Amino acid sequence: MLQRINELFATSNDVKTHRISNGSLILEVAYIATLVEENKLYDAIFVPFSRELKPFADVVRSDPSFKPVEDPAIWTDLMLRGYVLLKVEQSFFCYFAAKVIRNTSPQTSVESSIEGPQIALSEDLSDSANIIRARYATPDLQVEEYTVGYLSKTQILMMFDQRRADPKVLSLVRAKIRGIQTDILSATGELAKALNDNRKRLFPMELITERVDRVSRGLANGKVIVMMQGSMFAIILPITFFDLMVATEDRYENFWMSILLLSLRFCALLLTTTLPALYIAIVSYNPELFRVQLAFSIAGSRAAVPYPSFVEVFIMLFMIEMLVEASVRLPKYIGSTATTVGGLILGQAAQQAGLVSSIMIIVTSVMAISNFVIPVYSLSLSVRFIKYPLILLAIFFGLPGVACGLFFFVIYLCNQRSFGRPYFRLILPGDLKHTDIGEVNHE
Amino acid sequence: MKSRAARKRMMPLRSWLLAVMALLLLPLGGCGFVDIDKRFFVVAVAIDKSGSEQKPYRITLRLSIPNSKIEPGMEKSQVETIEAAEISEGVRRIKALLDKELDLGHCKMFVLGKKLSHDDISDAVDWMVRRRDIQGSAYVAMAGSQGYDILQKMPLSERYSGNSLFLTFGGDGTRSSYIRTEHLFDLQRRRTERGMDPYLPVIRTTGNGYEVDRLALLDKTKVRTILTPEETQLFNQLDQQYVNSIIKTKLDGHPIILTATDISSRYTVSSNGILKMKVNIAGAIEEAPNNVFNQDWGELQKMFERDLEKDAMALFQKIQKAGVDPFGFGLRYRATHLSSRAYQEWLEMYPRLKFEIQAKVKIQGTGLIK
Repeated sequence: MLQRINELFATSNDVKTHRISNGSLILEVAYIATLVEENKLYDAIFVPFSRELKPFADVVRSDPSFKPVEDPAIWTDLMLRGYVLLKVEQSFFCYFAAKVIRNTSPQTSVESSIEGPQIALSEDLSDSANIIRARYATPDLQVEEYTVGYLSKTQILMMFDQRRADPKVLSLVRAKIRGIQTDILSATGELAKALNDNRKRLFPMELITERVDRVSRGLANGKVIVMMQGSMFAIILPITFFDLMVATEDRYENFWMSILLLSLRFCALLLTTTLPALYIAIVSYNPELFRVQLAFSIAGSRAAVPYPSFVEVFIMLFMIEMLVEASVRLPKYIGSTATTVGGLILGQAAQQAGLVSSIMIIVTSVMAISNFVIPVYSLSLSVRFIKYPLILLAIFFGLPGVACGLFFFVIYLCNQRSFGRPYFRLILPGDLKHTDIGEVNHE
Repeated sequence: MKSRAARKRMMPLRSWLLAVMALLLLPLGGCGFVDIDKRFFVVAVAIDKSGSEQKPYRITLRLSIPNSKIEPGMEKSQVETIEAAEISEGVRRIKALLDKELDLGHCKMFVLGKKLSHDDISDAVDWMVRRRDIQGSAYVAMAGSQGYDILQKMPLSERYSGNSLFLTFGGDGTRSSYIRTEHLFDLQRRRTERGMDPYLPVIRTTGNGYEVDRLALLDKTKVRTILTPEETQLFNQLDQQYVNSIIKTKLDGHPIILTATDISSRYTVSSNGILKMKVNIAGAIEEAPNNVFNQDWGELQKMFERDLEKDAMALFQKIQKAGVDPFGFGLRYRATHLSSRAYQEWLEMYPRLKFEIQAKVKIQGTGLIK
């Protein structure tokens, strides 16, 4: 065995192979030192082997944590996942002794909530599964394991409630996961893209979350959870568009306020997509839409601006997109400075220099702020994009263009299916196992 | 079936076609793209008779000059006037005098000159209705003399040009029982509807601004009679149940005035040529001699009723004599009489129509606590 392993991992220095003997038995051990916690190794193998209170061959056969390995082809796989290979009396065993470096005691950082659970999923699959199992303690919770990525060999966990999940969705997801062809899988977003056939989709077809309450709520609603090793985010699918607009807190807080906040979010969604386009359309095509006072004051404040309205809009959008992008990438300490400099000083100065009108500053900031209101980051990214087609339509066709563009988006959304289920509908039927209007079995 | 490679070769052609089609769409926007600061907003239009034979119309536009700082009295505006053979020609010729695109989208005030209104308003109103950028909710009024004078006048308090007139007619600002607003859409409706005639409020200039307290009644084309301020108010009360208006009577030579807080008026037109109208008015006394609280209120109410009936009868007879129908009695007759000749019958009946007015006034209080 050792010879063969040494051949397979010819140049790796961290592959350790030992042949040890305690007089009665010869033990062959192989493992990758950097992946394995050596303490576990000593406690479980070396110490019992050398003391031999009980014949070690019996220990190996009676202890279920030593699993017999029949197929030599999976040796490398096992070792790469942190298993120790043992050869005892012509039979092979493996023992799991992996050491996983992960973020300790993860707190929600992307989707923070005030009174909701503060703990997030872990970067380690078994921890995440533990957290979910603790919050969804039913025997119906099924876990399936897959390995994806020729090189990364990423472990993927699919969890679902077998009584509630739709078998069609399940088989679809299984097929998708098996069909993934990639060398490296490093983030949940990548996995989500791989699960979708169409990479060019405008809107996210799955919900990526770090929140445990979202995951357990999803399980109860018959959704499928897909998690991967090394990422603290889980994918929830299938979803509807409205799942993306709901924050988990809506369930925890005052009913009326939640309704208000939800409708506020939809207003924000509409504003952030249409406001720049509407500005162009109204200012340049249909100024009669404003009240007279507003029309005159906009005309007055635009009088100093030398460029047509769409150039003005592009200048401001360019600035705001740069600001957002810069503050995402920058370290936290510099980030706030960048936004202050950009937001306050540039905006003010641009207006005073006569580059943009004061109304445009308001339009831009309302647009940016309402974008941040959207609770799911992937949706907020999509929405950041879809305003540009609308702006183009506004430049060439004015208000009718914007209206047609919005209409197009609604039709597009209606046409979407999230893993075979209608995407743009308000409420999924309570009984998920039965067919649904507009359901498509094969994507 | 095409092979994959063949389909791949097709793709560039198809995307080229798509790109060309998209490019062809671009000019569709046409010349509609004009920035707001490149537009001259017309806030009011006046149409007068010039008096000359070749160019009978005198068009006056009041253009707003936008200002980024808005303060009362800071407002600047420009008045352009031109004589032309047709209205549309005049507006187009004014365009040649200006450096920016003329925009009628915010033009909410149309003033028709006195001479024009007494002659024929059809062409002017027709032009307003046909232009797609003139809003149907624009206000139309008649000038006491020349429309041009109304537009020249710039009240001191204006924050932006035209605002005084907009506020006067819009109901956002002053709410006076003497003002009757006429919108363009309603004017057009009254011009074309059988059994209903148009009217126009009359604007006159005063020292500080405008005075709008009279109503000109038109047949389908021209002014037939002008109501006095009191008649205008009564017209508003009877036709629109306009509250916060007043009715008067006299007690021993002292005027007593009642503010109406609740008015209802109902009428029926019967085919035997009698129009019965019931008016109920309730309100509080606003101006009266001191001892009015101790008077017999029933007696006072009777006096109010008698005066109201008398005034209303005078108003109806004035309208009837002028041969116009601003209340829309004829429309009511047509609506309630099932006959293909109903309108014809009405036309024959109207000059001989008898009015029976039954007023009921209720004094709710004297405005004072004893």
